Amino acid sequence: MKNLSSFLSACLLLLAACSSPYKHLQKASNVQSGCAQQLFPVFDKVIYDTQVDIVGKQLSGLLIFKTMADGSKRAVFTSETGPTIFDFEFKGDEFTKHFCIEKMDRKVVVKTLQRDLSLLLMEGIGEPGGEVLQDSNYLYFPFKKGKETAWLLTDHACKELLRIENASNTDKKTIISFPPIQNALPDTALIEHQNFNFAIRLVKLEKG
Amino acid sequence: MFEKGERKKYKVQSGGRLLSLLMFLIFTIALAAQPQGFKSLQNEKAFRESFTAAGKTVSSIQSDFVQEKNLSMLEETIVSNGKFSFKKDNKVRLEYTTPYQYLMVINGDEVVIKDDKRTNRMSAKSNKMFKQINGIIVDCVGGTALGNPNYSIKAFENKGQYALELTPLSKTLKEFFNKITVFVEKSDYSVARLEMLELSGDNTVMKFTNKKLNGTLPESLFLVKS
Repeated sequence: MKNLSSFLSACLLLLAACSSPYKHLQKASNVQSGCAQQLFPVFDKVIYDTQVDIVGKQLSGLLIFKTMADGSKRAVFTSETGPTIFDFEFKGDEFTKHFCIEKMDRKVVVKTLQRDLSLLLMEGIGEPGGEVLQDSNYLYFPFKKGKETAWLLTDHACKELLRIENASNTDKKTIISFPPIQNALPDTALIEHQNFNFAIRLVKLEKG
Repeated sequence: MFEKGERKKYKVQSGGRLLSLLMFLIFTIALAAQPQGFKSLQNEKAFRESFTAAGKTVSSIQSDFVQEKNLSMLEETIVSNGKFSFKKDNKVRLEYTTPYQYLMVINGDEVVIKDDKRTNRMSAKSNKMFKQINGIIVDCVGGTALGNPNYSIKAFENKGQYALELTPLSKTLKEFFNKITVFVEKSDYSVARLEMLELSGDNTVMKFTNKKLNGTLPESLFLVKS
C-alpha cells in the first residue's frame, strides 16, 4: 500500500512537472481580436550595444536591425572593432542566413539565434492559436509555431507589450523582458534562455 | 549559314575580339586589384628598407581615429570615434568613446577588453585571432609588416602615400578578412588609414588623425584595472 502511494505521488509529481506552465491561467474574456498584432514593432533602423553570455563566456558587439524596402527585417551583428559576425534576414516565416563566421556557423547556434531574434522582431513567430489567457498582471496571447508557442504578454487593456515568452508544451524556454512598448523595438531588452546558460542584453544606441 | 571563307573570317574576327576582350579584362582586373589612384612601386626594395628603418625610429604613436563600418547590403555606415595609442614593443590601446564605450588594450601577451559593464582578460598567446589582429596593428605601426608570414603583401604608391595590401594567409585571419589595405604617409611613414575588406562583403575603414609620434606615453595607459 505504501509502495502504491509512493508510486502515485511520483506519477503526480511527474505529471505536474510535464504540465503546461500556463495551465494555471484563466481564459480572458472581452479581448479584441488581433489587438496583440497591433503592437508589433514598426521601425526603420535600430542599433543595440549588445552583450552575450554563453555558458560562462562573454562576447559583445553591435546588433543592427533594419527594415528593408521589401519589408524584410535584417539582423546584423558586428564586433565593436568592425568585423561582421552574422547577417540574418527575416521575412514572415522565411529565414535567410546571408553570412555567419565559421566558428559560429553551427546548426544549433543559428537556429537558437533565429528563434530569439524572430521573437524580438515579432517576425515569423507563428499564427495566433488557442485562447487568450490572463492572470492578475497580464493578458497572454499565444502564437503557435511547430511544437513551440510564443506568448505575447500585454497589459489588461492590450495597449502595451510587456514581455515575450517562448515555451514548449511543458517548459518555458526563453523569456524576453523589456520596458513597456507600443509598435516599437524596446530601448533595452534581456533575452534569457531558461534551460541553458545563454543570455543576450541589448541597450539601444540609435533609433530610427 | 556561312560560306567557307566567311566562316574563317568570322572566326578570326571573333578570336581577335576575344583576345581584345581578354586583354581589356586583364588590364581592368589589374587596375582594380590596386587601390584607386595608386600604382605599383617603382623601387620596392628601397621602400622595404625605408619602411623598416622608419618603423625602428617610432617609439610611440598617439592619435584620434574615426571608424566607418560599411554594411554593404544594408547600405548603412556606422561611425564610431576614439583614441589610439601605441608604444613599443607591443603595447596598443584602442579606446572607442562614441557612440559606445569600448576599450581594448594589448600589453605584451595580455589582451584586456573593457566595456561599460565588465572587464575581460585573455592571453593573446592562447587566442589566435587577437594575436594576429594585434599583429596587424603592431606590424603596420612598427614597420615589421613586410616580414610577417600571416599575410602576403603587395605595395603601391601615389604622390603622398604608400598602400600596403595585406592578403591573409593564416586560417584565422582568412575567416574574417579578404584583404586589409594599410595607407602609409610618405612624409613620416605613419598609418593614415586602414581598410579591412571582409568575407561578408562589408568593410571597415579606420582613419587616424592628430597623430603625435614619439611622445612620452605613461605605462598606466596600457594597464587596465578590473
